[in-house]
Amino acid sequence: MYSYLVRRIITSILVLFGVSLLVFSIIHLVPGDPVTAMLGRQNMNAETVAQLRQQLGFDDPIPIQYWHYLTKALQGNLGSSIRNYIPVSDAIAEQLPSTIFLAFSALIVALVVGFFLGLVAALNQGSWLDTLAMGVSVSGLSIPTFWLGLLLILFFSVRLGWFPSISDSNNASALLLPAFTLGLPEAAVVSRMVRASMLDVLSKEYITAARAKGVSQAAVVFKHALRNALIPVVTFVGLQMAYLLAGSTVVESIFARQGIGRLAVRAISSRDYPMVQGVVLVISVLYVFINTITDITYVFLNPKIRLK
Amino acid sequence: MTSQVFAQPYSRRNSLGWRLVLRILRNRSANVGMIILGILIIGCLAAPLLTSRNPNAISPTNALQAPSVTYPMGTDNTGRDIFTRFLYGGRLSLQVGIVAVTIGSLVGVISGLIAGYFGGWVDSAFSWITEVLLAFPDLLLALAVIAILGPGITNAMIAVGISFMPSFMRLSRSSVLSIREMEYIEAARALGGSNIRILFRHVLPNALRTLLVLATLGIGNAILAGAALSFLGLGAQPPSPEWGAMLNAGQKYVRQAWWLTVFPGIGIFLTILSINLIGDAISDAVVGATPKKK
Repeated sequence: MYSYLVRRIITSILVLFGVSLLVFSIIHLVPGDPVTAMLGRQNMNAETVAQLRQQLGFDDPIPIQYWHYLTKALQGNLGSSIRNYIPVSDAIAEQLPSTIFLAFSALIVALVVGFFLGLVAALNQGSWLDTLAMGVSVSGLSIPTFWLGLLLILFFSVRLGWFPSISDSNNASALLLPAFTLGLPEAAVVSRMVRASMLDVLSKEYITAARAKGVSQAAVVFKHALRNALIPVVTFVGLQMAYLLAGSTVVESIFARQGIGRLAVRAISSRDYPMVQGVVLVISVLYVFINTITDITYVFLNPKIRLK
Repeated sequence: MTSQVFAQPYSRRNSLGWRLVLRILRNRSANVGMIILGILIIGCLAAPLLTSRNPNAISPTNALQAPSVTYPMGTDNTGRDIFTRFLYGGRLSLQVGIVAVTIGSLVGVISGLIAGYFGGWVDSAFSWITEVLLAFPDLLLALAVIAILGPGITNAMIAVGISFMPSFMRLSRSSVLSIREMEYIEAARALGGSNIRILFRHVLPNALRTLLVLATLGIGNAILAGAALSFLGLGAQPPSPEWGAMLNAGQKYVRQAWWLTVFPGIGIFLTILSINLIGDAISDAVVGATPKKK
C-alpha cells in the first residue's frame, strides 16, 4: 500500500509540474507580442512597453523566466496585477474564502437533495416515484447553472421577494440561492450514484438475511444498506468539491458575488495576464490536491485495497 | 449445425451496427429526445421560412414587448424579436457543440490512438499531457484558452474543443490498449499491414462505439460550455444571437422582462436534455449490443 501512496504522490507532483508549465505558457502563447496585447492601444509608448517588459521579466531567456516563475510561485509570490498593481496572491487570498464557502454550501445542498432523491428512487424501484426522482435528476443534469440561477432570481427574488438577487455576503439568506444554483445540478449526479449504489447493496445476501431475521425496513435501510452504499459516494464527494470550486465562476457572475471565479472572468476581460495565471494556477493546484487526497482516502477506506 | 449456418446468410440486419440502431430506436427516452432535438434542429434550420424578420434588426419603438401573437417570445430592450433571435441563435449554439466536439475528438482520438498503439515513451509523454490537461476542470481550461486567444465565438469553439481533448484521448488510448493484443491485429501485422493502416482500418473501427457515446454526450456538454462562456461575455459577442449571449444580455432586464431570460434558457435546456436522453440510450445500447466474450 505504501508503494501505491508514494507512486500516487509522485504522479501528482509530475502533474503539478506540468500545470505550472502550462500556466506559465499562457502569457507566451498569446498571439503577437503579449506586452502590447496587455497594454492595449492606448498606452503604446516605447518607455511603458520597456518598463512592463522588464517588470514581467520578458528580457530573460524562456527557461530562466520559467525558473523564476516557479521559484517565486513556490514562495507564494504570483506577481502583481498589471491593472491595479496589487499582488496577485493578496487578491486571491481575499477572494478565495468566499468561493470555498459557496462551494461547501453547494456541496451540502448537493448531498442532502441527492441522497433524498436517490433513496426515494432506490426504495421504490420501478414505481412512479422512481421515474419522477430520476426524471428530476436527468433534468438537473441538463439545466445550465446560469439559467437555473436566473430562474431562481426571477421567482424567489423578483416575484416573491424572499431572497436578495445580489449575494455579496455570507449570511444564510444571501447564500441560499447561489448555493442551490451551484448545488442542484451536482445533486442530480449524487442521486444517480446513491440509487445505483443502494440497489446494488439491497440485492446482496446479507440484506436478505437481515430481512429474514425480521429486521425492520428502516433498520435494514439505514443500519445495513446505507452504510455500505456510502463508500463510493463518499469518495465521489471530494471530486464534487473540486468541480464546485471551478463551477463557482458562473454562479458568482450571476449573483454579483465576490470570489475567485469572478476575479478570473474580470482578469480575462481586462487582459490582466498575471492575475489570470494566478487564479488558474491556484484552482488547478487545489483540484490536483483534492483529487490526490480523495484517492488516498479511498485506499484507506476500502479494506480490499488497503490489505493488498 | 452447418445447415443452420447456411440457413442464416449474412444480412445487414444482423450486423452489430444495425442491432445498435434497433436498440436505440426501441428506447422510449431516446425517442422523446430525438423528437425534441428534431423539432429544435428543423426549427433553427428553417428559420428564414418561419420568420421574415432579421435577428439583429432593432426597433426602439417596440422595445421590451411581452410575448404576443406578433412577437411570440416578446422583444428585447432594442426591440429585436426574440423568436427570430431564438431560431438563429440555436444555429450558433448547435454549431458550437458540433465544431467543439469535432476538434476535441479529432485531436484527442488521434493522439490517444498513437499513444496506446505505440506504447513506451510515446505513451508516457501523451499520458502525462492528458493528466496535466485533466488537472484543469473543464471550464477553467476553456477560460485559460480564451485568455490566450481572446473572447469570440470561434475562439470559444476552439477553447471548448481543447477542454474536451483529454477525455477523448484517455478513452481512445484505453480502447487501443485492449484491442492491440487481439489476434486479428497480430494477423494484420503478420500480413505486412502498415501501422497507419492497422490503426485506422482495424483499431479505430473497434473503438468507435465507446467513442460514439462520449461524442454524443460531449455535444450536449460542449453546447453548455459554449453558452456558459458566452454568458460570461467571453464567447459570442453582441449583437450575435447565441443563446448564452442572449441570456447575458437579458440578465439586466430580469425584473422588467422575464421572457428575455426564460426562452433562450429553454432552448439550451431542451437541447441538452434531448442529447442526454439520446446519449444514455446509445450508452445502454452499446453495452447491450456488444457480443459476450466466449
